[in-house]
Amino acid sequence: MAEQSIIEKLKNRDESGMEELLQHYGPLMRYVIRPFLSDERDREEALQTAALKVWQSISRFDAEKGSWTSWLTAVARNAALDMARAEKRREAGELPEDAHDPAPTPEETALRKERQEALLRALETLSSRDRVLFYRKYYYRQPTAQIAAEMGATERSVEGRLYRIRQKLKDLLKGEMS
Amino acid sequence: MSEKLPSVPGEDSFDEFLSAHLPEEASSEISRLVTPWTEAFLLILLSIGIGLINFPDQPLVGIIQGAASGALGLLGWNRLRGENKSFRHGWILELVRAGWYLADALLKSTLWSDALNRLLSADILFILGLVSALLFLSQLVCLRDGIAAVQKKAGAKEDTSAVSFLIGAYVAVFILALLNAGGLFSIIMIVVIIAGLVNVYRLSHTLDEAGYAVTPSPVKITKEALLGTFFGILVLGSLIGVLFFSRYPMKWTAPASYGRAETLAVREDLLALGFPETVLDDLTEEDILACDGALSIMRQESFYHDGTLDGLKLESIAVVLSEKPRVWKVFYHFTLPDEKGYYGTDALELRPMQLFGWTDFTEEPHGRILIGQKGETQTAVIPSVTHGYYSQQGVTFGTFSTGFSGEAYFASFSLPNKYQNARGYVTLSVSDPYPGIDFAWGENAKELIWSRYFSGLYYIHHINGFHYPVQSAEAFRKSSSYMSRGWEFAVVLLEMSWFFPE
Repeated sequence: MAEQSIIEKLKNRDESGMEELLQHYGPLMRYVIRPFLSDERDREEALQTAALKVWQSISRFDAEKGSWTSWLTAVARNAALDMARAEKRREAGELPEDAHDPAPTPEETALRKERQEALLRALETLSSRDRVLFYRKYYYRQPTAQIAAEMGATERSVEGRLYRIRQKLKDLLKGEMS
Repeated sequence: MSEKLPSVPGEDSFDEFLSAHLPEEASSEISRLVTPWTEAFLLILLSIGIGLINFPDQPLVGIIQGAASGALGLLGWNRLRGENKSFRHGWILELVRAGWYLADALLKSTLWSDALNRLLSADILFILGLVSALLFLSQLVCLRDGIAAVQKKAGAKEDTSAVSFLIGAYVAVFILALLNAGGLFSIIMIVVIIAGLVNVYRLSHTLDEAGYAVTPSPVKITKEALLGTFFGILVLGSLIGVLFFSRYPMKWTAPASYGRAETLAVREDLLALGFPETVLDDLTEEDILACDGALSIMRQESFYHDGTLDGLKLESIAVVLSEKPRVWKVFYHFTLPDEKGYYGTDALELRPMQLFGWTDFTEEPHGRILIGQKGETQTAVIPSVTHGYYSQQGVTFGTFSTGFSGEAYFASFSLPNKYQNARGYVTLSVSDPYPGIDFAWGENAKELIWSRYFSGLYYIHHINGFHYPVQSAEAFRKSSSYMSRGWEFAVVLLEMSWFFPE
């Protein structure tokens, strides 16, 4: 109910929708952002950036392509990821990404797409629980301790399981990596 | 949102390769399943939902249901215990409830459960039931407060109405149960339970997005270890209970030979009065001597021809020791058909002449069992003889139905797994049976005794190898599970006996 109302308000450029967005989905967005950034102020900044991104790109949200929470998660994740990368570069004394990285060539784009599809196919061979574990580690970048606590397992067992998943994927993706 | 394509990955950069090639948006299924609270919360809700339903007529279902509820509760509360004080208290209560359940389940795998029920007064049993219900209720309160704390932490509006409704529903069910409500109330009770379960489902949405503020506790004990310990104690403990403590301890010894010279004389007198020799051979010396000076004997004999107990024979013998005042020593002797694979307890239920018109027994019932083993006779004292009022009650969806209510003696014992020529007897002495009735009235006296004194002699035999939760033949006969566990015991009405001089 709240989801529909918020989406409608945001699409109608109603600013109260932003308030409701943060009230209802703030915990989810914070949850997604937390593993990427260690500093609490950076996390808050990433949350604001993500919220702004939602405001700007709400027209691109299509409920038929995916759920509201998965879209929102992606927006929050990318905001946090961008900020984490920028922070890393600052620390390394590098120039901003746009300053020296050219856009990927068409060959690189095609290769990336091909590898992405291969990875998705490989992930389909995993059990639902392993797939969730994989996403927690590689997509949400959650630390092992957090994954273990939330999945009701010990860190050791999570590490063991991740190792087995990695080995399986390595076998399946041999061709893509060479 | 674009990511830099990494160089061709080698062994060391496989992780980087995986991260870089994931889609920008995870599937709906993944985003739904990656939460810190849903799984733990669902485990708790399932535990509550299962715990809400009660099957008093189905003790085995109750054990399984309790195990499922306990295991799910342990897993769920263990995950949330570190989040806030209320969840921590909920976890502690879950540990107490699991311990309570295990103690109760293990007790139910032994005969001690029946003994304890007999020992504890109705008030204490009621208080124990009340404490158990309050533990569950307190846990619901912890759940409500824990959810409110999470919502507050997440800056969300506090809404715990679904849990509050569930608490109300449970209190209502409890009050209706206290009132022994039946009829219309039982329908209300079913409605309330269904409403409670619907609210358990509604509860799953209570945390909504606020649940992402939950921080589950690190797992110190793996779920395998937790469940392994819980079910290990349950299964192993129950197995030990069923194998070693579900039967009456019978101390089998060779019967002692007569030690006193007058025993043989009394024996001869009894035989002369018509006391059956086969029964007389099974009596202890003390019981034979107790019949010294017998004036006459009244006898009845009955056979049972059906099922497992086909061939069961019962002889009731009243030895008249004095006419005025009228004093009898009565023997109830039974002979069982041979059996292999027996495991459990049997009982002889005596309702002699409605306890002979409520007169006092001058000698409390006692007796012994005899078996043939490798050509030798072995005997053991009947280990349990109880006396009291009981009322068979059944509960179905809150509606109470009552079977027999009355006074009876139960002589309970166990037999070896394989027995031959098993027999036994129970004896008691009574003064002034049939007060106010003169046998000289002939048929009128007989009619009066017949109409006034309902009597019955029942043999309750364990007929099924699988026997869990453990219930003695006596407890089965007395309990509300009389109908639902009928496949475990055979109950035979041997006779509607009354003694009358020939």
